[in-house]
Amino acid sequence: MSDSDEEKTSPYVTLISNDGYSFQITREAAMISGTLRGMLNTSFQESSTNTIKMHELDSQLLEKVVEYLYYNLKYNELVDVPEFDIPTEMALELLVAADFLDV
Amino acid sequence: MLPNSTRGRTKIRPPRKILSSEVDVEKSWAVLQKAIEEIQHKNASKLSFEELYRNAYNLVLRKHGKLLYDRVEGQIRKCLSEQVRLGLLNKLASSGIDDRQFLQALNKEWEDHLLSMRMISDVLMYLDRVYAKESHLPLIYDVGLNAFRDSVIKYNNNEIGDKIITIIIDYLNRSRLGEIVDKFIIKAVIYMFESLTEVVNIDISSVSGSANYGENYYLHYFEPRLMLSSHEYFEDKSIELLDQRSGVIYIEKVTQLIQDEESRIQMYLPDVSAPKMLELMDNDLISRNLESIMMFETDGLKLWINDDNYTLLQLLFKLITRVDSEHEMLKRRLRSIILENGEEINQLSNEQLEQEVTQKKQEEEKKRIIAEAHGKKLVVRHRSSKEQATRYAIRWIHNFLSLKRKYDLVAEKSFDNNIGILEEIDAAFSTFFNSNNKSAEYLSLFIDDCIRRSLKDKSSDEVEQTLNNCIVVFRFIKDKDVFEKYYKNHLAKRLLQQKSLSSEIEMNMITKLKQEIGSSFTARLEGMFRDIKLSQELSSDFNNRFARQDVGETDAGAEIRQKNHGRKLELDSSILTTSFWPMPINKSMHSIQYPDELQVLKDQYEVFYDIKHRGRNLTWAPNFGTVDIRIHYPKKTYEVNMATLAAVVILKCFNDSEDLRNKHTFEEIQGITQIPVPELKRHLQSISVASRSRLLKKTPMSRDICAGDLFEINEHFKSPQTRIKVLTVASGSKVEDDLQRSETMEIINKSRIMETEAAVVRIMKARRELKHQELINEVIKQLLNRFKPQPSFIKQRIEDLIEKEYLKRDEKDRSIYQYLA
Repeated sequence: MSDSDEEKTSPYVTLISNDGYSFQITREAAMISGTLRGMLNTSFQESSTNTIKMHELDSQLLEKVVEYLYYNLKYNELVDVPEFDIPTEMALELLVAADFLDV
Repeated sequence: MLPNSTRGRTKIRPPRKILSSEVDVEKSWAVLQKAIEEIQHKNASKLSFEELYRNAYNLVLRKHGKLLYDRVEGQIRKCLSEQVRLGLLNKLASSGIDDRQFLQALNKEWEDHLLSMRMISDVLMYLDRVYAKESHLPLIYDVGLNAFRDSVIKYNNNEIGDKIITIIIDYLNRSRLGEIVDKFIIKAVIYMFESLTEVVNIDISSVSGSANYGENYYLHYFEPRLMLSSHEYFEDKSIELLDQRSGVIYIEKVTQLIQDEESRIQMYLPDVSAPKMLELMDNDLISRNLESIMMFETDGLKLWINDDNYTLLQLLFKLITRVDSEHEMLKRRLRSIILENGEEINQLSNEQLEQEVTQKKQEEEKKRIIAEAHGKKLVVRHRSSKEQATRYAIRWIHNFLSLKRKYDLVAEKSFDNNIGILEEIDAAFSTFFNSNNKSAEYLSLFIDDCIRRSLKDKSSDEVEQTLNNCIVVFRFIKDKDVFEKYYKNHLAKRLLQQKSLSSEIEMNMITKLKQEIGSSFTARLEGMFRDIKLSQELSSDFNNRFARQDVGETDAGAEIRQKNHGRKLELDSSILTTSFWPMPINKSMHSIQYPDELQVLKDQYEVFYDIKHRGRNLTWAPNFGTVDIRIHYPKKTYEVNMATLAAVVILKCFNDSEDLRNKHTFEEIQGITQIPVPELKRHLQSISVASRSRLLKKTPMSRDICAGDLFEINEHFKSPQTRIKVLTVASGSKVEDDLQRSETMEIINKSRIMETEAAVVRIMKARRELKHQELINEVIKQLLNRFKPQPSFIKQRIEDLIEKEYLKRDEKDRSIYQYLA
């Protein structure tokens, strides 16, 4: 793991959707997902490149996921939180994505 | 986060499916299998977590969880069994590798395995989360640990595990011998053992007696072996030490051993074992042997206490504290040793006394020889047996005190002033103190001796110290009333004979007693003091007046003066309140015929006293007083101080006649003086038999006074001094003989009856109605300061009181008493 130590210090990670869009998000936000956390914390390829290819998610979905990660990060410890807006047509896909990402 | 239940029921598939719905199971597994191998060979960084995760995810999602789970487990086991285990066995077999390298290799494998498992379980996160949890199976990571346990350590009948345990125990034993071993590797391996959980098996756990929870390889396999080997070690060690037959060595060595072992335990062993090991060690080294160690004749507890070996005793105390916070073992030994010491005190006091006596005898013998060489004859004076006994009593208390002080010091310096032990010591002292039925008298004698003699010229600090010591002993007395009785007797003698060194010391002692036990105990003692003080004032008043009267001269006064060649008569009287003083009024003294001189004084005083205190009754007790008279012998005139009764004999029978050859028989003297026979015998003995004061001549010259003996003035009386003191036989304070003791006890018993009845009446008067048991308890409580009454004794008193109609039983409940006003 020693070779990834320096990389780890980078505060940002990149998520790439299956249709090729990249999303730069803070490491902190990514850590909310158990799956992403696992990817970044072990000495696999992803942790050394700080880049994760998400084969299961398209850009639209991934954007929503990222939005949720930040939403979670912001409101996690607060009580009165505003609704998180979920477009109805995306609901099922999001559900699966959430299961996949363990959020 | 989404609730678990949603996820669990999820069969809904997204409408827009990204991947093909059909997953090639074998293809996915192949990817994963390859990946696991790569991970095990530390090539993980080339792998894409996302890809593996996705594969596992899809397998699980399509209900191939079981297949995946089982295959992963198989893969892990295969790798461990075929590569790791065989590798380790090879290392074991090869001669170039020592134990330490083997352990290191093992530890390396273990750490690698943990790392791989960490990664594998991360990749298979979804499998854990969905399949393993739902099927209540261990997580993949734990599967990996179990696989290590089964395929490496316990494989082939615990082959490798056994080897490891042997090595580590060997290490520990070597470290016990002082070798330095690699503690990190031991700690690491033990940590590994702890991580390997054991399948809970009811049979095994019930045999080993430990709880099912937290069973692990360490507890299950390692610890029993450790305990066994440690037990052997401790036992060997203790046998080896016991063989030396030396308590000192044992205690010092064991203390050292325990210290070492403790740090060893802390260094190598996990917290769960520490208490068990300590218990084992304490049991093997302390509980089992220490009591017999303490009993060693030549080098045991008794000797150490005797030698004031505080450091060793402290070590001993600490060892015992480890196994028993109550120190029962130590208390038991202390108790019996103190009792033994008590026996020794009796002996020691005797020996010291004998030594003293022989020394005295030798000195006197020397004196005698010197005297004989000068042609003189010296009579060797033998101490009477009573006097001996008194010296014994004083010695005894003295030795008792030094023993007590010794134990106090030991308790303070070595036993932390532990309250339980202090109590035990006190109890033991009390037992042996009270087992001697003369101890109360001894103490009183001791105090008597202090106040009469031994405190002379001592600083006030020393006096204080001695008196405090007396109080220490006083606390041990169970029957305080017995002590009071003796103390009063001795005090009375001191006061009347003016033998106290100072009344300050007397008062100090009484104040201390008062502080200790309350004023009711000392009220009478203080009363005695008051009496003496008042008497002194009265006497000087009386003597002044009587002296003054020779100006206006009464008839009687003139007559006496004339008779006494113009000399004055004086009277020092002690007016004693009957209830305060221990002496009974002696009716037989009433009829004594006083010589005129004394009779006049007596009458004068009675008149004088009646003016001062109208209506009081004076009873004369001549048996306590002394008289100074001047006797003219043919050769010389002596001033003699003698007991009043002796003076009565001389003045009454041998003074009247000018003829010195006046002879009287014993019966005649008795007839003239009316002194009771035993008293008369005693006093005649002191003035006719005692060598220094043979004022009268007795025929025949025998030691004992018999009826018909003849007495006359001893014309040849000679003494180097002009002033002589006639010692009355049996004055001063001495140990009572058995007869006197039983008399004393009878008196005490009578006063106990009174006190108990008084207590019962007091209580009942206040409470009106009380149950039998409560009454008994209350009475015991009230009387505790004085003595410890037996319930049967109290019961008898209650019966008596019922008979006397102070109390009656309740008609309905016979166990209730009612007070009758």
